[in-house]
Amino acid sequence: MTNKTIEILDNLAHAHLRILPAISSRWLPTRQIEQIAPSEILEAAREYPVFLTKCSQTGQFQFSVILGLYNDENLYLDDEGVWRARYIPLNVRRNPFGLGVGASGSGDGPVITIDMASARLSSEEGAPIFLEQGGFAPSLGEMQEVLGRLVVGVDQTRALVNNLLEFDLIEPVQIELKLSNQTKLNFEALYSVNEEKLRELDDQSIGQLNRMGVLKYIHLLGASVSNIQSLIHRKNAQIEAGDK
Amino acid sequence: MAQPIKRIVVVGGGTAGWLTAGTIAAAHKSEHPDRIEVTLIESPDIPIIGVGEGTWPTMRRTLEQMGISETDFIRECDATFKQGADFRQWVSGQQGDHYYHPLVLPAGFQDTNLVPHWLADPDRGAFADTVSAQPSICDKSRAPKQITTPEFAGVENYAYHLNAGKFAGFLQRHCTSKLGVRHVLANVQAIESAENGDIASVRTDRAGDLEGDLFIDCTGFRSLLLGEHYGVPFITKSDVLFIDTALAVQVPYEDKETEIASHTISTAQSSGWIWDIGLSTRRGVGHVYSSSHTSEDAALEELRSYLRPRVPDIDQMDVRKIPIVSGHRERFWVKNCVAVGLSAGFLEPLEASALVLVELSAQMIAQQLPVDRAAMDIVASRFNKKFRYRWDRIIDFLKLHYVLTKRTDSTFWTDNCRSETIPDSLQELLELWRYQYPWHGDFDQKDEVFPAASYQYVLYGMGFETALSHLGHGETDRRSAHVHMASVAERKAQLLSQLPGNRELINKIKQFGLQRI
Repeated sequence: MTNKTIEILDNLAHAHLRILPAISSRWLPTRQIEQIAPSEILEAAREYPVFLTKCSQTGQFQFSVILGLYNDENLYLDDEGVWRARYIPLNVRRNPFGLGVGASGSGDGPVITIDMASARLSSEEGAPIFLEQGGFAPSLGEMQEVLGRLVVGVDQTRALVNNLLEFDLIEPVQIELKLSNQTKLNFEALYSVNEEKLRELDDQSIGQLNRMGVLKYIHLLGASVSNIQSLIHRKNAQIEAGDK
Repeated sequence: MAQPIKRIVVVGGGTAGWLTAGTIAAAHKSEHPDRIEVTLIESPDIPIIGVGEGTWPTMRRTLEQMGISETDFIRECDATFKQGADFRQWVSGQQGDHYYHPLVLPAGFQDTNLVPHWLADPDRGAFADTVSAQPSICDKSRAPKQITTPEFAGVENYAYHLNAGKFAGFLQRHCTSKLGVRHVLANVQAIESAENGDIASVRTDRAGDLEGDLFIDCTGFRSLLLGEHYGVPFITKSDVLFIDTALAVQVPYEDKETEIASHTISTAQSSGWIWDIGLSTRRGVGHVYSSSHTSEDAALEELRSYLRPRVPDIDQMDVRKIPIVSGHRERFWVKNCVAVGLSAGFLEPLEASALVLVELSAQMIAQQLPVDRAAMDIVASRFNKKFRYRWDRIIDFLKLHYVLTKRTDSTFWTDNCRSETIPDSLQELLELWRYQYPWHGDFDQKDEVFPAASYQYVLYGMGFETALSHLGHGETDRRSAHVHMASVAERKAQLLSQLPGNRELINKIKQFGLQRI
């Protein structure tokens, strides 16, 4: 671990810590794009545009939701900075917890870590992390499940992306938007499924994609594009509120 | 048709042979039953030369068109990114004397010639640094792209450094497994002529007679078909380019983290120069020199003292001595035989012209592949004209590096500046450029091997003086020039904040791979 404020979770050292329930910009770095796992696509696609993006560290494709029109903009935060949406990505909800390698090396499997610098932590407000006897409180039990889904998500993402690449279905997309104040915006570095190529696939390939469960994700990605309208509405509303 | 061209036989299995076979096979890949067949005959007994370790940016398109994955290429050929060359001690020979020849065009090169505006500035910095961001990227050993950039695309223009021995094997595997090139391991023993003087077939020791409609001579310096069989004379250029010997060594990095230079470093010596090329696994370093101006012992000592500060055990290193004969054949395509690679000619490696000539030749053969024998003589004559022109332009451009020197520390440098060693065409251009700034119209062809930009980088990198003129200083020109120069400064800052180190990116590509899109 490189970050000095990250510690391995310990029911003695961290016995009295509590976490604040709201997902809020008070403790959350505001980002325009957030990565999600395949198991989140169904719920995420109802709320956000879902695209493929490349991880800046590895260049590998991952699934991401778009939260704003500019760098560091999240249009789902209300005036108090609280994230208001029907669905919030696991990778956001997991904070300030993460996974690390145990002190005795890799043999132990991953351990839960906690970022002590996070403003989501409190000693008075919020839900406790540990029960008085030292067991996991419900909040931590929930976190454990979130982290578990994220771990599985890494392999699921790789498998799904490899299927899409194998059939040559991923393509870069260019999106041009116009806001109510006539500002024009371009989205770059987004990728989605090439529907034309999908239509040209033979029945056997389509059947294969269907059986592997890939087809349903392709449809969800396609349908989620309409959520760009919701981003524009939110941005226009923000602009109009600012004009008054 | 009277005599369709369907069977292409490439003789020779070095880099030139496989690049040519692959380029032709990929360009004419087809499911048609009448498709062309490409066969490559490789001698199991003759080793390949394999010292060409620098490419041009054209190699990206060449590989992409063959359907090669850039990730595989980088992993299997120890390849790294090359963003031009740093010429050290070519002008005064003193410490700190250096200039860059980057691979990007000067800013605004399509519409604005920045030379007069750069010359007019009394506080000007280095030319390449004023008109392009790439020298700053090279100074910091940054890569020309990011891990998120697709294969073969660049944030800045780039070429490669590669392991030539591994490259030939890599191309062979790709050509035989993906492009249907037939690989025959045999020695050619005799050449059978047809009545019209064409080559009808080649006789081999273990694969019988191989017939063909077009034979491509990639047999290296031996020039088996074009030189030996057809007796096409070799035109030596050793009176212009004096270098005739190379001493090459392979040098380990100090440790796994040592930064990889993202450009070729070319350092002038008393009677030649030293190349220094960083691959992912090692450096390739060599001293090319003129044996009529210095001795082998002295050349070896210069190579050792170049390496000494950083490399241990230099006295035990395995030094390969390679003779170099600068020059080319009088013609390259005769009857139904065309030579590509060393069999066509060779020039000293100063601007890495060997592989690019192979690529250009292979492309022209692939694009203009005669459909019928009846069309072949016309294609041959065009090919000969085009490539004679190209060899001459390359010779001019290589010589340019020598004639602009101010070094007088050895007869090698003073001999290089004697006018009887400088081609008339180059002398004429140099005279022109004393008064006018090099620009697009100074050359005859639209696809020049070295465009005016390359001449600008070398001329003004080496302190050539063009008289300030009353032309090119209009208000529109001046405004546009300042916009372009300001954009260079802005781009520098932006690129330095974005681009990873050369080694960092190569390591990531080995670990994760680049995406095709």
